[in-house]
Amino acid sequence: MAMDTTAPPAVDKAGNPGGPPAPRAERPWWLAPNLLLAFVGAAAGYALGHMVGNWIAHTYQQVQGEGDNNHALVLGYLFATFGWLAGIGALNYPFQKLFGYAPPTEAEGAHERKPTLRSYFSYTLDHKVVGVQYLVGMLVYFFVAGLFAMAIRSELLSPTRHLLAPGTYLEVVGEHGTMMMMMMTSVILGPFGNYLVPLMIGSRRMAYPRLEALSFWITPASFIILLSGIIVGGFPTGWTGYAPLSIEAGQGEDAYLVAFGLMALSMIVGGFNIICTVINYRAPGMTWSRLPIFVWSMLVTAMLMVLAAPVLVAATYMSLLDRTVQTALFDAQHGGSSYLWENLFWFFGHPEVYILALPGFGIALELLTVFARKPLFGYRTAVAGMVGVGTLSFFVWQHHLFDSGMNPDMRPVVMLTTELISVPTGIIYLVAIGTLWRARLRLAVPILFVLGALFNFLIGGISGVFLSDVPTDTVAHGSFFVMAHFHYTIMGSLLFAFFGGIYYWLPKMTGRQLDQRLGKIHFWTLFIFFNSTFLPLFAIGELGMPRRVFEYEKALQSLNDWVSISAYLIGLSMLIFVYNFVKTMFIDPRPTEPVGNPWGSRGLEWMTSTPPVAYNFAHVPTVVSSPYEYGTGARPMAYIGGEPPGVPPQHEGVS
Amino acid sequence: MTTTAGGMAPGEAENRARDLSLERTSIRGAYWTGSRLFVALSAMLFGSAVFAYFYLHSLDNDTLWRAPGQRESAFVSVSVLAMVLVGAALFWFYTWSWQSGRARTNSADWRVACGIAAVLFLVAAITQLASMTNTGWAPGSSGFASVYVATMPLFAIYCLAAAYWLETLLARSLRVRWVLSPEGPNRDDRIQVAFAGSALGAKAFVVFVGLVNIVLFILFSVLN
Repeated sequence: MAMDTTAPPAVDKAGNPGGPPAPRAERPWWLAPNLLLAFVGAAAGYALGHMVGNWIAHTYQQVQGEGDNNHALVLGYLFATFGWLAGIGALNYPFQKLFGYAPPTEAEGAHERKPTLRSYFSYTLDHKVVGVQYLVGMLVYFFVAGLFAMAIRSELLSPTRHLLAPGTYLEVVGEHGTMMMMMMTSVILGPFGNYLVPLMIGSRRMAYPRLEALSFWITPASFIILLSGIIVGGFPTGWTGYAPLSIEAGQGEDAYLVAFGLMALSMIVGGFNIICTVINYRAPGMTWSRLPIFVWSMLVTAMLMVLAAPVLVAATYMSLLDRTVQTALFDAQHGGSSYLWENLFWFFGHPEVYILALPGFGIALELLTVFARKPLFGYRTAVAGMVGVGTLSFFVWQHHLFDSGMNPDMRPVVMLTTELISVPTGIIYLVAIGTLWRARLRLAVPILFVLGALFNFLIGGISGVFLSDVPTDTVAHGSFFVMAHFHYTIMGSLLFAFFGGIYYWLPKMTGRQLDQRLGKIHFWTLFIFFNSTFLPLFAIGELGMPRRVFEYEKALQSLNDWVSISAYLIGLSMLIFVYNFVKTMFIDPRPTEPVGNPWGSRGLEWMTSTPPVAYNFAHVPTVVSSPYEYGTGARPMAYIGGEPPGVPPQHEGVS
Repeated sequence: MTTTAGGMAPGEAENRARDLSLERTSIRGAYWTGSRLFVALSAMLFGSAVFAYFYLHSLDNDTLWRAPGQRESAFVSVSVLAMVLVGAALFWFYTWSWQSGRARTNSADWRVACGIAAVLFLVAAITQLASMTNTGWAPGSSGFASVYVATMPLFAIYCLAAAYWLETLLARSLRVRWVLSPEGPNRDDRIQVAFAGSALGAKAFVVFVGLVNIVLFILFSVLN
């Protein structure tokens, strides 16, 4: 047998290697992958899956007895997702690979191309387009989940039933909680991680752009499936999906399990891509000690996603098997155990809290240095804190089982690990305070949101210490106190940091700056009404009002009404943001003044054009200093290309 | 701006060459990192199944960890294990030979080994899935039965994934024949680097699938 010793041809059979890509014939729009085809694929997939499920299970005793064919619904959802992804074009390349085709290579001048409107509705390989898709998607998911919150608060205006039936109330609570906890895991990594990480590390692309796009296009499918749960009766388990209720529940539980499993898949794929990109695509000179702190937070978050979300995939898959093929994994009467679900779920669920929190810390620290015009206080300490939080988060999940009947001897151990996690968290907080110390802070809108996030997290964090303690947790467990605590930590820090990030980076992403006056109104209304909503809930919880129950003591009505009205005002504050966003983007789209770098950041992401071109930089930059050397007279962070130009690029912008 | 005779700005050619060189290094690293990361996340997935096995085994609720006579078919488990291990060993050995530039190995050998390994993984997956339809006991009859019914389809999916990965490598090596050049995976070409990265990633992956199969064999066919 002879060896292949021939040199690479200029153009091979596929038309790719060693030369420019062969031109491909343009297909008519209705044949090319697009959003319409994705909807058609999803509908056809659902019909096919449902048919197959009926064919498999129509003779099963449980199907004939109850009339609920979980097989048909689950297969319908799965086939619909497959059809959706096929229609949008996500499966084209995996299919072409079977025949040995290579992906299209970078064409001449491609880095100068700008995305069109159609790109934003397509399966695209440009990480910046995916970032914008994520941003819009996450805002939609967030606002829909917010509407469910409004429904909850409307019901709680009265101590007895007046708007929603008890079952409907539980469905609404479940949809709100799951949508927020499930979809919002990617609220920062999705838009900002995907958009900014390559720019911040000096890369011209992502490591796996197809996986990145896939991670986004799974989210609409997951969202719609979760929402469809309402149509098939909702799910009574809330976002935690505890067994055995989950096994006994109606078909809405299938929607919850499939949607959460799909979102876990999206997290794995998205996190995987971020890790590979940060490790391998850093520009020369971008050492680990120069990596922007936001990128560090993305890296640790991605690690948590990649290592924790597979356990959620396994848990939801097992629960679906219990509901369909009648395994007994969570059924104690047949050799299973409902505690198995609790362990698997919280092994994901607690790291998930840090999947939500760490990106917020990253944004806060990143923005603080810019607006304080000071180097980040204790950069390495902050990195160690993030890595410490990420590592410890895998050792604390059993505190969610304190009151579920876990072995009492295990409680002190878990209490210790849970309390330990406040040490690295506190370190990150101290780094933020140290950076603020004696700083002449410019109180622009982004930094207001960051300060709001720090304030809220302080309250959330301190109340969390009580809940990590077994005796106090036993008293407060299942009450509104816990609800107030996690809304302070997650909504109070993550959401505020998210909005800070939007106000800060939107000029980079779009070349347009949101109205600062409206931004300040948005901040102050949100900050005041957020605290006005959630601070009284600590008291309501301490007074004994349990979560997930629509009736309560009449004496608590005044406090509850206050909270409900404050919650509506949060909604109003969000409308101010929506108005500002729509006005800036569509009604009065004036470019950012001054164009380019309105905050005077040293960051690498601000050294390319605004908005950035398709491949980010004309050439891979060379990093020569840290991004945080404000006030030290240091040279610019990087220059574009391999050789330093005669005149360093202007990047400081106007303060 | 001044341009050279070729229409490029001064230094443009050097910068492009540098970009390409950096990208090759990044692609190589991304495949290495990606394949190891895939193994790590897959280990978490199978770790959940192993956790379920030992958790339910230790609880033995209603003394129903395992009903009498519940055991995986020895014929199926041994034949699947043999196919997976032979497939993994074949692919590992020939890729290692190609990687280390051993003179005895040539590209046709690698293709044959890759093809056989892909077929073995595919047949192992089909055998495993087919055997699930006739276990002789109900999925919910015990903790053991439940964990078995949950775990083995996952494993079969991983066998299918391995077969897919190897088939794509084989197809690529047939379409772009020079990727299996005698220099091994060290040639500094973007297409070559991507192919070599993928092949070396698959090498780590098939070893992982083999290890998973050994663990599952011990859990379901050896331990009581």
